[in-house]
Amino acid sequence: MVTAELTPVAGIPLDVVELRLKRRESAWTQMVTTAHSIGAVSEPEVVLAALAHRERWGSTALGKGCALAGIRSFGVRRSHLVLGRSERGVDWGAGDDDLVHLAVLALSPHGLPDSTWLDELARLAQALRLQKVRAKLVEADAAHALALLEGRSA
Amino acid sequence: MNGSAAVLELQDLDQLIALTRDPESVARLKRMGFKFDGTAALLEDRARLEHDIERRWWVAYERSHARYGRGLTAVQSRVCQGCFVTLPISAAPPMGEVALHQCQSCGRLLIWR
Repeated sequence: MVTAELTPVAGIPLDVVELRLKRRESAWTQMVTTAHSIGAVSEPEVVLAALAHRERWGSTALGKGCALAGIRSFGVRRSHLVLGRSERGVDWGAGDDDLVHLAVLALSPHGLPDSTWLDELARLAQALRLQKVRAKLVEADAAHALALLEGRSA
Repeated sequence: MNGSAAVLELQDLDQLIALTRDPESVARLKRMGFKFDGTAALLEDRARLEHDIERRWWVAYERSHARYGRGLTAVQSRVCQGCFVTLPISAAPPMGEVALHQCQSCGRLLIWR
């Protein structure tokens, strides 16, 4: 696990984890555990429940092997990003045969206003739509991945 | 999941349900590429949580939600973040623990940690 030391434009740090398992819930657990280990998450079980609810509303898979799971939760102490990568892919249950190779978990505290939260998600979704960004995210270290997702590097 | 965690889950879920009812936010999310299946599943989850939460906290949560628009409010530095009254030291949970509490001033359900 590598944590970027940079302070990005939005001030949200990022961790990169290599996903070991093929199930979506296992990927969530691994990413949330990472955020918990550095103190960004105070109640992992609450965050996992929020992720499950968000997924029940509609899939967080965006297609092209990417997923963006953004949640606001009382179990999150401070905003944090986790980029999960899987070479063989994670079954995201999106209803198609696409496996997810890049999953971004965007964790935000409960009280974050809708507009701020949606702006952050929109920026991440926009970055993930670009093929060149996705290609570089596969091998980027945490600092570079953060720059790519913030649109500061392509 | 313990009692306070279930109430935290409920508050997160209510925030999500509120978002699903805001057409502008949903439209923005759709423009980002997300697809949605409707809110029926979320309402089922909410009904399930009623059985996981102790009755007194459920009632306090629903009362706070109906009156103030949100069911749960945080305590920061011993101050209710709803009415900004300082809470008594004797009501504080032991260090490192999370506890539910009802504000004696405004009646809000509080999460104290």
